[in-house]
Amino acid sequence: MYKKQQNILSTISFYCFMFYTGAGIAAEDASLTALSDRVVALSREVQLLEDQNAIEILQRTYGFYMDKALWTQVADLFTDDGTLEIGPSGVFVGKVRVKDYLLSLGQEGPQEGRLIDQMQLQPVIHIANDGNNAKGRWRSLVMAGQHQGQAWWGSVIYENEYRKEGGVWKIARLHGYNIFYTDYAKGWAESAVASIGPDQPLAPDLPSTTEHTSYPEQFFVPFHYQNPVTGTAVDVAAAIPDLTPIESDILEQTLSDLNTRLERLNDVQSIERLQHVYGYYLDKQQWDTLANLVADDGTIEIAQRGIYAGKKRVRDNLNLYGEPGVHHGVLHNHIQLQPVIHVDADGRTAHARARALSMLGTYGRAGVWGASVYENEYVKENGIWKFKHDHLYTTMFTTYNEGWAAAPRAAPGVSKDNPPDLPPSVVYEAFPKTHIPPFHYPHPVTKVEVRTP
Amino acid sequence: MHYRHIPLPLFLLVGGCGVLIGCSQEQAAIPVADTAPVVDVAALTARVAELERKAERLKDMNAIKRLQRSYGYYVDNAMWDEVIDLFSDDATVEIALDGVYIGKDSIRRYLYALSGGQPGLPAGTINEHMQLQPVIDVAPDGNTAQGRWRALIMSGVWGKSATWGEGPYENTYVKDNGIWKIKSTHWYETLLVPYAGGWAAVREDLHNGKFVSDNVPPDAPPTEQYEVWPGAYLPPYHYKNPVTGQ
Repeated sequence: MYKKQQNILSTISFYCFMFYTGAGIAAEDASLTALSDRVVALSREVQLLEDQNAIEILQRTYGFYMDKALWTQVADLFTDDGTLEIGPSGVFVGKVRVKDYLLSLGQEGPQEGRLIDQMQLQPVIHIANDGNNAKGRWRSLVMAGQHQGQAWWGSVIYENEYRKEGGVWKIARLHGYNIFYTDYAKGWAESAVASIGPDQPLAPDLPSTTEHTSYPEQFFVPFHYQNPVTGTAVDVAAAIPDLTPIESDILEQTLSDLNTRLERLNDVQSIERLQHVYGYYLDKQQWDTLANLVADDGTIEIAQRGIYAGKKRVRDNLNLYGEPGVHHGVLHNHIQLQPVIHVDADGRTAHARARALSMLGTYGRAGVWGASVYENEYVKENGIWKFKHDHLYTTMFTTYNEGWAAAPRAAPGVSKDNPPDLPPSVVYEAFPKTHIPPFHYPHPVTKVEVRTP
Repeated sequence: MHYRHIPLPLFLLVGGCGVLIGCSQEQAAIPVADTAPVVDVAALTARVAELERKAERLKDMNAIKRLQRSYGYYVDNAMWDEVIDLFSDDATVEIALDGVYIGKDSIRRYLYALSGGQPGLPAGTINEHMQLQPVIDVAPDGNTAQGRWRALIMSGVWGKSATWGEGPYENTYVKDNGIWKIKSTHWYETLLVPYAGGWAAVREDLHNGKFVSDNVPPDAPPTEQYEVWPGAYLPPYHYKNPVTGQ
């Protein structure tokens, strides 16, 4: 009896055991499969976020290279079959022809007396579902001209295409629609031309793809995307590729890697934010709060004023730019633009190349335009990003009424009353002379360090 | 090894032992550790959810930047109907000292008035509104956000006027059914000055920060009073110093 009961119990428990374990496997199996699917989707999202950053770096780097007429480096940003079309240029097909076009604009490399600053602004990027193609709308504000010749303001809208080849984003199609160029001496009420290209332009490989008109005629640049609120389709349709499942034994490692990548993406946003916050404080001469953005051992080096080392000395340096606070009739705008941010692998230090457009001056006296490039370093302390080295290189500085062609001014130098701790780390002269602030990062496509031609 | 590929008999030997037969944890622990890793699904799920949240915040930032930059491109061409579609139903618009326009109907009346009663940029006019220098903060719940931006403006009428403009925005955004919209836009005019002479030239006809509010009255007066250029004003920041938190 007892034995029989025991047998029955054993049998029951055995079947219960079988049932329980089977169900347990099924439940755990299903939840793990669902989790694995979520991680696959998350991996794709993280990749797309990194792609977005890479495309922004690509186009902003195009701008930094164009500024200095680094034609070879510009052409190397394109795919082998990449095309270029700017204003009425027609279409140039392939890297070699892109470079031919650029050479038709003038000699390679920065040339004394020539200014071609092309700020790359306001990106709206959409990446195709396949993760390998993208489109981007950008705009450029252009400051161009020849010393003792003519100076130009220009406004350009781009509708560009990008392609990822071997894991590297490249420009597949660059299409700039010129909105207008205006003679600095006259302004856009009186002067507007469609292009300031060479008098005898190089013959393109293909005719213009559009009949675009420019101001003062009516103009419109088609969008590659629909209204972001009401629209549904984006003109970058492609099928989502089959995604590789993630095996459960690498799930832990995958999550750890994704966390690190998301942290780095977040760092990029934090550093961009820091640089932009800095700009708003600079506008309003909020010296104390601005100095607090700098690490205790941080430095500032503006134009040719030399290096001020340590947070307290950074604060001293800021006295050079006026009394703290806002003042009637005083303008101190430093618009922060075009950041190219790279965070080091350990996530503790980072670099950015960026630019400032300065609108300065005093009502009833003189206005000033300034253009400059930052190569800054940042450090993360207790989870907070700070400036480690704030280094601004002056490109051009001029009085408003004369402009850069007629009256370029020297980059501000060392102050006798409020001298720096160290002399300038790099000695250079602003426009009409030229110099290339050293790039903290190699060419995004060729990976070769950029050197002055 | 994939968990679901572990053969059933192995589970009978290992996983079930402790639960039903009552052998000790110590006994169970040894073969478990050696042959099949214990997968803590709940802990993994929590980690995945946290990473998804981080990715979502970054996507939110990108979406808000796309939204505000699209606003700029539409304003360039006075595409007011597209601009209005970027707003939430209860949105407000406050430009310089024109006062506050509340809701899409008011906003439409106001924006149309800016371009002479109808949308679209006529030939011979220019209205470039560059959208620059974003400082975006998404609320912890991911449903609202704030952003400071600045506009650099080149506007004018051929043969008549050319104007440089500059000033910051303090905007708010709301996520509505997964789509970010502009809930409020407030542009502070730092300056709007004639191209000739720029911001340094002394002028009699100083702009007073008003455009069309005399003809199209706002729903509410300006939320802040300040003097535009050559006046100097510090529009309040929506954020604290990112290093000191003050």
